[in-house]
Parts: sequence; C-alpha cells; structure tokens
Amino acid sequence: MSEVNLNFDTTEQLSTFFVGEMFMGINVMSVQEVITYQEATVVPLSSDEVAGLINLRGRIITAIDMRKLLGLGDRETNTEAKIVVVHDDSEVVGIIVDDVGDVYKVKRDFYEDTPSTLNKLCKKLIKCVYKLEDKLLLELKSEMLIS
Amino acid sequence: MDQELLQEFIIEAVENLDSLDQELLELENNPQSQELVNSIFRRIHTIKGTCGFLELTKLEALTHTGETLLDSLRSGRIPMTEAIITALLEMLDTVRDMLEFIEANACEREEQNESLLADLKRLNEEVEETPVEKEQESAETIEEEVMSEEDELAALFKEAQEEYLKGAEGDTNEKVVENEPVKEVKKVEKNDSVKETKESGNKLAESSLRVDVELVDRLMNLVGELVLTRNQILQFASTSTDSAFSNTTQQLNLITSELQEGVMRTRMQPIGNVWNKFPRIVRDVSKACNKEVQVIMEGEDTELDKTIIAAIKDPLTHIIRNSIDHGIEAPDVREARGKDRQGTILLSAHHEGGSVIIEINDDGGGINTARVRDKAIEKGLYSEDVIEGMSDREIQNLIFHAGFSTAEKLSNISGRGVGMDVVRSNLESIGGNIELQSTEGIGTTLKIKIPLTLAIIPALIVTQADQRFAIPQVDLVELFRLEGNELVTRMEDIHGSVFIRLRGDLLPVVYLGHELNLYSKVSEDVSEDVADFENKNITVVVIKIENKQYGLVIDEVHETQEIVVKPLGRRLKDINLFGGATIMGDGQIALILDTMAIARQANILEDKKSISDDGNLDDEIEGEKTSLVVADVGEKRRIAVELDQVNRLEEFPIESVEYGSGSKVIKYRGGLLKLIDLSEELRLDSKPEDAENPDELKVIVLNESSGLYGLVVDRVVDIVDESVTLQSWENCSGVRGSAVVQGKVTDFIDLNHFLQM
Repeated sequence: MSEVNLNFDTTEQLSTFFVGEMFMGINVMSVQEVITYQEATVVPLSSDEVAGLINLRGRIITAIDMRKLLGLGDRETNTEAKIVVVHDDSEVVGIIVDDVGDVYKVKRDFYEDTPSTLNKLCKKLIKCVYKLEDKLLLELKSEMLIS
Repeated sequence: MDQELLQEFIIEAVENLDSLDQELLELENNPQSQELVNSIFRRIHTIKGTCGFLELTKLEALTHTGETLLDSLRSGRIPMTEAIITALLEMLDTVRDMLEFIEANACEREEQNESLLADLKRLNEEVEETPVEKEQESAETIEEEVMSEEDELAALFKEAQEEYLKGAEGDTNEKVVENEPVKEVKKVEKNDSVKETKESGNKLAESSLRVDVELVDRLMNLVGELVLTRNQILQFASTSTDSAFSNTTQQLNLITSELQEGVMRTRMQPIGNVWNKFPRIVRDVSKACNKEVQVIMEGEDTELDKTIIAAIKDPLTHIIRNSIDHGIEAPDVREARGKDRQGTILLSAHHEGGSVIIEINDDGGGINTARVRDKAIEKGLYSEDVIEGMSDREIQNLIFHAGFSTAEKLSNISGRGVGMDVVRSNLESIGGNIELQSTEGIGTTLKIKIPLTLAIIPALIVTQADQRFAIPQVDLVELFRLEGNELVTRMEDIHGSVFIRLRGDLLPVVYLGHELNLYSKVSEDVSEDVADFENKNITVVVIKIENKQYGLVIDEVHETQEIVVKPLGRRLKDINLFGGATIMGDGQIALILDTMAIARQANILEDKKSISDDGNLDDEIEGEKTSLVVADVGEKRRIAVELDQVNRLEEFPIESVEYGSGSKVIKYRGGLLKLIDLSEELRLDSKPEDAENPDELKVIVLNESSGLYGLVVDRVVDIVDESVTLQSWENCSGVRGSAVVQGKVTDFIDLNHFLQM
C-alpha cells in the first residue's frame, strides 16, 4: 500500500487519519503520539472547533475537533475516536479524529497543489493533495492547527 | 579563546562592575576614604589583569587608563573631583558595553572609545604634565604597591612568627622557620593577578555555587508536576483505609512541600539585586535635572522569585525617575518651602502574607490635584462633572490612566505620555497592583504589592454550572452568601446593573455564568428576575482589583488549593478571561480566572465614564436624554434627581437619625450627612400606602460642591434614561420644574433651595 522509495528527498512520511469521508495526513515529524479519546474540559467562550483542554500526563493541551473545524456534522459516538497529538517548536495540540490509519510514505510524483476550487477553509488547512491509487490523501498544515 | 574561561571572566567582571558602581557613588559622598579608592583600584586591576590574560586588548587598554587615574587618586597626586567620578562611571558603562559585546560575539569590538580614553587621560594629566612618563610611572607604582603589600604581609608574617616563637622559646629551628615562609609569600604575591582573585574567590565558591537558570527552571517545573501528583495521591489516600499507605502519603506530602519550598528558595533573590542599580540612576537623573536627591533603602534582603525580580525592574526604575523628575523639587524651591535642599527617596520592602510590599516614598511636591484634574479634563479622559465628583485620591490615581502626563515640559527623563499606565499594566501582568498616596507639598508614596512567586499559587476553587474554576487567592477579599429575604433587601438593581449592599457600600455584582456564557439553573434565574429571589440563595466572592471591589456570583465555593499555573494554548489566547489552567487532584483541568479581565468585560472599571456621557443637566435637560433617579415622596408626589448628582443610594434605620445644629443628621462614612426630609420640606405628611420597611430611611446621597447631602424619600422607584422637557412653576419652592417621566408627572428637585435654608 505504501510507496517504497529509499530516496528520502522525494518522499514524505505521513501519519494518516479519517475525518468523515476525508482521508488526511500530517507529517510524522510533527506527530508526537496518538491517544485514545478522552473527554476534554470545556473552555467557555472558545470557538466551536475547540473541544477543550485535556491533561496529557501533566501537560495541558488544547484539543481541536477536526469535524467541527472542517464544518462536518457531529460524530455518532466518540468511543472510537482518537486524539492525534501534534506539536511544533513551542506548543502541543491534540486533534480529535474519527480513526487513525497507517503511516504512508508518499512520493512527490503523486503530489498536487491544493486544487483552487476547494473551499476557502479547506484551502487554509490543506497543504497539498497526494493521489493514491484508490483515494486522495490530504496533507494538513500542522501550523494551522496549532494557532 | 577559551569559551569557558571567557564566560567566567564576564560573570566575574559584571559582578565587579556592580560593586564598582556602588563604591564609586559612595566615594563621591566620602572622597577622603582611602579604603574605597583602594577597593575600586583593586577591582579595576582585577578586570585589567584578566583582560591581559585573555588578550582582550581594547578592554585592557581602557581599564588600564582608568587604573592609572585611580592610582593617581590613591597616591593623592590629584584630588577627587566630580568630573573624575563621572568619567569613571562612564568608563564602567563602556566596560559593561564591551563585555556585552564580547559575550555575544566572543571577540572584541573593532573601535575603541577614544574620547573616553582621552578624557580619562586628560583628567590624570591635569596635574601631571607628561602622559607617557606618567604611565610608566604608574606602572611602577603598581609594582611598588604590590611590593608594599608584600612588605605588609611579610611584616604580618613576621609578627605572627614572633608570637609563635615567643610561645615556643628555645626552638632550635628558629632561623629556618623565620625565613622560609616569607619567601613563599613573595612568590605568591608575584604571580598573576588572576590568581589573586581566584584565591579570594575561593571562599565564596565553597559556600555557594553557580547554577544555570534553565536548570533551576526545569527543577521548578518538575516540582510543579510533583505537587500535582502529590495532590492526586492525597485525594486517592483519603478514600483508602490502608494505614501504611496513608502514612506514606503523609510523608510524601511533607517531603514534597519541603522540596517545593527549597526549590522555590533557589529561585529567590534579594530585591537588593535590582535596587543596587538605583543609586546610580538617582545620581544620573538628579544631575540631569539639577536636583539633589539621596536614596535610602530598607529591607534590601527581602527575597522574591527571580522572574518577578526581572519583571519589576523596569517599573521601579520608571517610578524612581518620575519621582526625581516630577516629584522632588529643585533645591531652591525646597529651601523656600522649608525642606532640606536634598530630597530623599525611600525605598522599602517587606513580606506581608504571601506577597511582597514595596514602597517608594519621596518627600517631594506631591501630586498637584488641581493640575491633574485640569489635565484630565483637557485630555478628555473624563467630563468635568464626573471629575468634580471624584475624591482627591481618585483624581491622583488618574495618573495611571493611559496617555496621561502632567509634566508641562516633556523631558528626556520621564513623561513622554507612556508612563504610569505602563507601570501599572506591567505590574498587573505579574499579578501585582499599585496604590498611590500623595499629599501636596509633603510627598508621594507608591505602594506596590506583588506575589512572591508565579509558578505555584494558592487559589480558591469554585464551580459554575458544574465546571471548576480557580480564583487566585491574592485577588480575594471575602466570601458571603445571600439567602431568602436578603436577596430583596440587600440587592439593588440600578438600570440593569445589580448591586449588593455590603456594610454601607454598593458592591457591583458580576455573574460569572453570564460572563462565561455558562448558565446554571440557579444563576440564570437570579440574573433574569430580581423580584424572584425568595427561597433562593447566591454565593458571592468579593474580588479586589485596583482600588475597586466587585462581587462575583458563582454557584459554589470549594476549598483553597496550591495550584500550578500552566499557560493556555495559542488557540485560546483570544479569550482573555483566563489566566491559565491547572490540573486538579483528580487529574481534571480547571481554568484560572483572570479577575481583572472579567471586571473589564463586565464594565466594572468603566462605569464612571459611562455615567458621564449624559453630561450636565442645566444645558441638556431639554431634549437630550438624562439619567434620572426617580423616587416617591408622600402619597402622590414623584420626584427626580439627576444621576450625575447621586453619590449613592442608602438605607438607614430610623433610630440612627440624630440632630445637629437644628437639622437632621446621620453619621456617615466617618463624617456627618445632613438630611433633607422631602416629605417635611414639601409639606406632605402621608406616606405611600405600600411603603416597604417603614423603619428604614431611604436616602439618596447627593454630591454637592459643599459636601454630601442626604435626600430622604419614601421609596426609590427606578433609574431611567429620559429626554425631559421641564415646565417651571412660579412660587413653588424647592422644585425647579416638572416633567413627565415614564408617564407620570415628576418634580425636579432644586437642591440649592434646601441648602440655603
């Protein structure tokens, strides 16, 4: 399923997950871990996509619900949901997704810029699209998730 | 260049520079002190010596020139002057600059500060003619000095030896003993000066240790985690019946507390570390302003967390500059006012509860209330009538208002319009606050209250709609609960804003549920309908911000806890009502409330301004909207006074009325309040039938230029915004006119009429 290529210059490893109908990925380098779903402490007055705060081994991180962020409907049940912990240099956030997939090695050959017809919100979040054989893999901009 | 050695040199040199600053200033006051000159000379000599060792030639040249000058002073060849002190201080600044550059770039700057070098040389030459000779000479002098020190030591040694010998008379090795140690001393003395300092530094090194701040920060974080884990275990242990487990838990509890305290102490620094920069600043600023100022410090050893020390440095510096520039008068003016020519700034610090109190007191001119008032009006910060209604203290506190500066001339030193407001917001950002007290002609005192540490704070845990929140203990004043009937008698609704009567004051009320959009059943009902209070109760947390207080209504109060403050993510930065979050004993998260931001959002801080918008009644009573307090007097009479005039609405028990010089008075806020009983004055005897609490006197307290007056009415009806058209009546004393307010004819009271009676 994943493309095998030892030349690392042209491949990227994406940690993948599912949100609604969408198949998305984030560069493995910015993924810290994946944890099972836990109820977040609601932050009053926060925007809709912020599910709240979770306690990650003594560290307080903001949890963002990808469904809300992408404007999709509510999840039927949260029991299957997972939290992908994403970090940049200064901060860690958790993104709540429906389920996680494998780590994919993607080749630059299959790369395509974000289609211009995509809606604005998606364009802001999605870095690029990889055309896999059976589906599309959307790579997210991790920095957009954090701030 | 050896990096480590260089680092060590820089740290040491900076420490030496700090001491030099102080010593030079002392020397200025005490120019005859040979001891000080020697100490200064030695410090510069140390720096110079190490510079040579590390091949920092520019720095070496500069310090060498300074050393030469100092040597001339030391030997008494040239007298101490102010110019010399100034030049030496300038040299210290330059050295500091150079060190900073070296620290950042690991090499020396290309250019040399030639003018300073020339200055230093010139000062030395003013007496000595030939500089070249001089330098050589000075080099010799150093040697001589070393020699003489050597001799001194040798002499001491000899003395000791003799004493020893006296004790051991008849020792056969007498001669050998006498000679050898002296030689050794000479050898040591001839070594590089680096060694000299190393040796004197050894004593310190034995008892103290330099640690990377980062390491201490990391330890602090870990201790924070440990405190949280301990809290969790404590909670767990309270449900356990295993006595061995609870004993161990107790032990863990104690050790953790001690460890926390210990690590916290490693971060503690005496406030003197900041203060010792101030004598220099005071000297420079007062010279620049042509003033004479001395600074006295008390409690320099009061300790504070390192981060707080760093955070208060700038605000304190600004305050001191301000005090000299605006506060302390010119020497001649002071003399004319019967004060010492030299002004005094008194800095003091002490612990009080979990906070540190810093006071900055000057014996200057104090704050000119009239000028502040004029300025505030001129700048349009407040309208005239609002300012008229302010106490002197409130007016003085206007200097903390953004964009306020009373200095008639803008000076370089302070007063560029970004002043005290920045000071205040800086202090508030670290959880502190500032109060000002000033008496015109006598001086000004600023009182700063700051927490000891930021990382772990005591906080009160409360719940609202089943969600927990933490309120920092420093913000709390008291807690109380209103039940049943009290909700009616003690709560007042003024035009949509709710107040609680608390010991004679009206406390503005903020509903946490409302501010956070987090309604629980109880608070929702309360906020919506004032009349529906029976059988309910509310819990109020009284919170102090700046000089104001407000009551925060919450669902429930829980315990106080030590909490570890954790920052919120960037995504949540926009909601500024929270100061952070913390993890509770059960692993759940609680948000920390920023009481200041909540007050701001609820408009508690702005209330004065919003009232002022309605302006003066005489010009605007026709046509424009006016805020009116409407009350009933007697059976049918309805009266109104402008809200601008109203200071407070009060209720007094009828028996508290007394008589003073023929009129009714009441003891009120430490003074007497003259009462004007409207039903008597307007010759109405009947009371309204439905008057509630006939034993209570309803009083509208009015602000007049001559003081406060109490207007006794039978019932305060409402506060309304209305545009009214006054219709005047002839020979109707005490009433300026009547108008229709909310569908009823209402008399507008002419207070002046009653005052003249």
